[in-house]
Amino acid sequence: MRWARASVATVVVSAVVALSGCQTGDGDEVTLTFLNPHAGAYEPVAEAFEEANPGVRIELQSVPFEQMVEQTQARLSSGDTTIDIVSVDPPRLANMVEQGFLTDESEFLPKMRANVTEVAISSITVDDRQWAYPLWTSDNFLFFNRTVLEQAGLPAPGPTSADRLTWEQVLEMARTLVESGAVRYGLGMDQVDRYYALQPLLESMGAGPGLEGDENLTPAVDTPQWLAFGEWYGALYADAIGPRGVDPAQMVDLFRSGQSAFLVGGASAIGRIADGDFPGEWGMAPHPYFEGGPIVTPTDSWAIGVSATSEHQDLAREFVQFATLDPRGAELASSVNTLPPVQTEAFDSYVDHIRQLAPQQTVGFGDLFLEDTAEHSRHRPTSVGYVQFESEMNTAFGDIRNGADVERVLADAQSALELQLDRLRELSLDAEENE
Amino acid sequence: MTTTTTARPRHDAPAQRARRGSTARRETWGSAALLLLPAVALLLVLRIIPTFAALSEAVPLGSERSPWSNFAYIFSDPSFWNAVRVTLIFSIIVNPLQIALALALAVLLTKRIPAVGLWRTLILLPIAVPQAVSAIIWLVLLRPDGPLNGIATSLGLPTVPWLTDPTWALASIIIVCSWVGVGYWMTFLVTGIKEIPLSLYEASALDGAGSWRQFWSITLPGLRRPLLFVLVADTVSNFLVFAPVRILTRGGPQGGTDLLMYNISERAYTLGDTQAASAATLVLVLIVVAVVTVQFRLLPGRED
Amino acid sequence: MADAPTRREVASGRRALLLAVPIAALSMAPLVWATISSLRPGEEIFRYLSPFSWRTVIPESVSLDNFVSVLQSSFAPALMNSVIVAFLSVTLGLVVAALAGFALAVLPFPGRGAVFAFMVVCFLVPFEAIAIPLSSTFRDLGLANTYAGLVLPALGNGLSIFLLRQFFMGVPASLAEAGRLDGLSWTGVFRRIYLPLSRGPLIGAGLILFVFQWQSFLWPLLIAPAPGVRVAPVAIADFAQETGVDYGQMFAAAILTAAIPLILLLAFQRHFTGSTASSGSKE
Repeated sequence: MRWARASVATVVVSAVVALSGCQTGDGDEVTLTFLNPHAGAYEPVAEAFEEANPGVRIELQSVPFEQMVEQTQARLSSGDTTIDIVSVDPPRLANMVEQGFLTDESEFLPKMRANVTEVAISSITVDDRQWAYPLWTSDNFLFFNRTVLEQAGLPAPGPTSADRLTWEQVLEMARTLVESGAVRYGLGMDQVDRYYALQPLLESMGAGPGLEGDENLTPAVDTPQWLAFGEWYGALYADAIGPRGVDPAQMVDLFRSGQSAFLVGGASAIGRIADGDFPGEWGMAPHPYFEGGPIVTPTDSWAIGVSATSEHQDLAREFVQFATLDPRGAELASSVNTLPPVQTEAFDSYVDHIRQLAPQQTVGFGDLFLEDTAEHSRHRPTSVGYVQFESEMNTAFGDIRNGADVERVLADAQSALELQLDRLRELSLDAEENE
Repeated sequence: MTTTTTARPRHDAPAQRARRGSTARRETWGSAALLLLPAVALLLVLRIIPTFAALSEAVPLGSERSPWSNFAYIFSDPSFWNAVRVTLIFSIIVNPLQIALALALAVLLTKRIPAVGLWRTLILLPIAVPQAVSAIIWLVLLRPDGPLNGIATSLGLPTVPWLTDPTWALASIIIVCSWVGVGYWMTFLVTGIKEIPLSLYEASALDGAGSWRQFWSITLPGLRRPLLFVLVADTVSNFLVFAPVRILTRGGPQGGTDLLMYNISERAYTLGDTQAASAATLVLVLIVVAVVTVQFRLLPGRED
Repeated sequence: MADAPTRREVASGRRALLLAVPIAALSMAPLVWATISSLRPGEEIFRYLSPFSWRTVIPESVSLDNFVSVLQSSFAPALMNSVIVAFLSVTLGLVVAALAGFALAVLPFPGRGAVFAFMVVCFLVPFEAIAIPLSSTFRDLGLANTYAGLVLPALGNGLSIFLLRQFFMGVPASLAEAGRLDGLSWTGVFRRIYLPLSRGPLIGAGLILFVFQWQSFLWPLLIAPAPGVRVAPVAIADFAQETGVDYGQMFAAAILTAAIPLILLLAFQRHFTGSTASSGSKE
């Protein structure tokens, strides 16, 4: 496309002269650009780094979470040298690695091991090499409306792993409450219809993760276990225990305004529920499991990587290691949106912070989190086709929630995924030949 | 305007006339080139060249794969054909609906109404709200337990599965797009009606014509050109809708609102398959070119 | 339009008002609801959402907190950027479009149809489809994070050219011929005859350019994500985080974003109405 670029250049340059541009940041200082989907979150850690490193400026370019994939794709695939640091969603890591977006950070493995958990390190590992630095982790919990449960004479769930309820118990209570008219809905999920939240349910029910085979490129979402889960999920909404047509973003609001008895949600919900004036009392309990099945919990959250096209990789790496592996840096990087850091010391201060937000409700929160992560957590499948898989499955779960025929939805999803993953193989073969 | 006509000989020799004619012609061509230069240069650089760059991705040359493999892929994908089907149904309903409403409102809001400018502005206002936010507003309004159904229930009407049923979801997208678009297209028709000389209406009123006959015999013919603009521009913009779909339904339920442009944007931006996206874009552009060509040919009074 | 309305016109205007007001109210209802929501604290929006009651539309308490915090956030400079970018796009874009529209409508030259068809094709291509290749070119040219990078794509606007061409064609050719006979150059004909007669259409074309820029989201995100040059729609997206949406602040920011064109439109309405039709020049 050289000819195109050249002819564009001639015409545009004259226009630029007319429209005086305002280029940002010049002079002797080095500017590191950090592309991330977390507006405001990294301001404290960036300031601390700038203070310790005079002459370095961190420019935070935040884009909406929904647009992060496309922005990363559009800007890194065009070889944009102005991006030095980039947020990485672990399930998408394999795809980013295959496209050569990230630097190989394997030589710093010992440093990672000294500071973060093995579970976290495995989330940024592809082909036995490390491609980013894990920053946060995650877990889901069962939030409940204590007042509504007590008024109905139902026992409130306990806070420790030993008190963990089964889904059968939760749904029975939810049904009772909805049928008695005490609440409008029984159960909401803050990541409703998303694979992240539903994978633990699937696997607890005995279903596979949905991607299997060599390099996780074979879809398996029409198995009898998947069908069983689909029927369960559809019935949840057909029986009006869960709300149809409510967007994930509105789910915490549904719970904290007292309209839903239970909420499956992440730790970020704690702050939001504590923040509002919840009508009555609330509490939180461990993530449920299916009777007779294993306990399975979700895990992983954003990591940070160094862009392979950066012109300041060493400096960028220094910042990333500060924000993820340094206790103070990781604490600062987690302070704004209070997500749990994987850095072990920073995690302890994070737990202290959460305990202060809601002292009564978060008894045993830290221990439960660590136990879930160490013993029950499952990563999402590592696959270059994860993006295809996730977007197809999120759509399928949405259709099931809205009442579509489960067998047909899953069969369609299976064949759509087969088509897309074949396509992916064809394109990557083609790319290899061209190299 | 000062008039400084230089005296000219009354009877030109044919040769002289021809020479002056060709000078004038050359001046006209020169002026045309000069006046068009900025627009043509900008369009070439900002639209046409990148279009070729994007579309060239659809046909991979210098690869082991067949140059048509991207087309073969999208044509083998049921979701692509579903998107084509949904887009055609959407277009057949939304375009006549929006244009009829815009025209009716334009006629209404060019009458002598107190504070007419205020009413026009309020109807136009939805287009000034960033699309992402206006879609989120509707996302709450159209919830199964949202205000719209709430009003229906308190009036004793049945509730509507706005975004959760494939057919209603498409209707919802049409409503949201029209809420944004009708006021916008109306504005151009208002301008058009304002350009029609009042004397025509006065004369026909003297002849005893009612407003219905005036509409058919004066307003509609007088609006010919603005109407062609609105017809074409509205049709094109409805073919290119995707932001409301992305926020309200993500193409669902069951592909019921998977408009082609949304399908393309998912391929390009979410899945990163720019080759298939370009192939699908080419199909979309060809469909739009075909439809617009028909519109230019069919609208009565098309230009010389 | 100096002539006094007849009694019949006044009566039909009154009847039309009975239709216009409810339609305007219907069109405004979602925005009014969003405004009310932005005046409530966060979770109150959802507490009274259902079942529908008077509390759904009338807040328990009114607070301007959302507006205050939005104006103190990075949204305020972003809104300013939007205004600057929109202003540059409208003024420069209008010049480009008016010249081209005039040439296409009035000047007889060979290949006029082909040039017009070319302009039409330009707005048939979805801008989103070319945004990625165009943005990498712009970055190579150093246009990333500049106003020029934001304004330029709006200037290549085939739609506004199409609109002006349609209206310029409606001006009687005899006027241009008379001007030419008076010795006016083509630019003279444009400036002295067509421009004064086309205030309404020019405002319409300005509206097209304005809306293109005001609604622009994907392009600014690609080409101008740096804090100093972000525009309002991009900044508003900050209120929707992965962990939750701040509906109150988001709606407040959207209301502020819509308020600017609202004020401009009310100011310009006079010109929409100020038609040239009754001047008798267009028989």
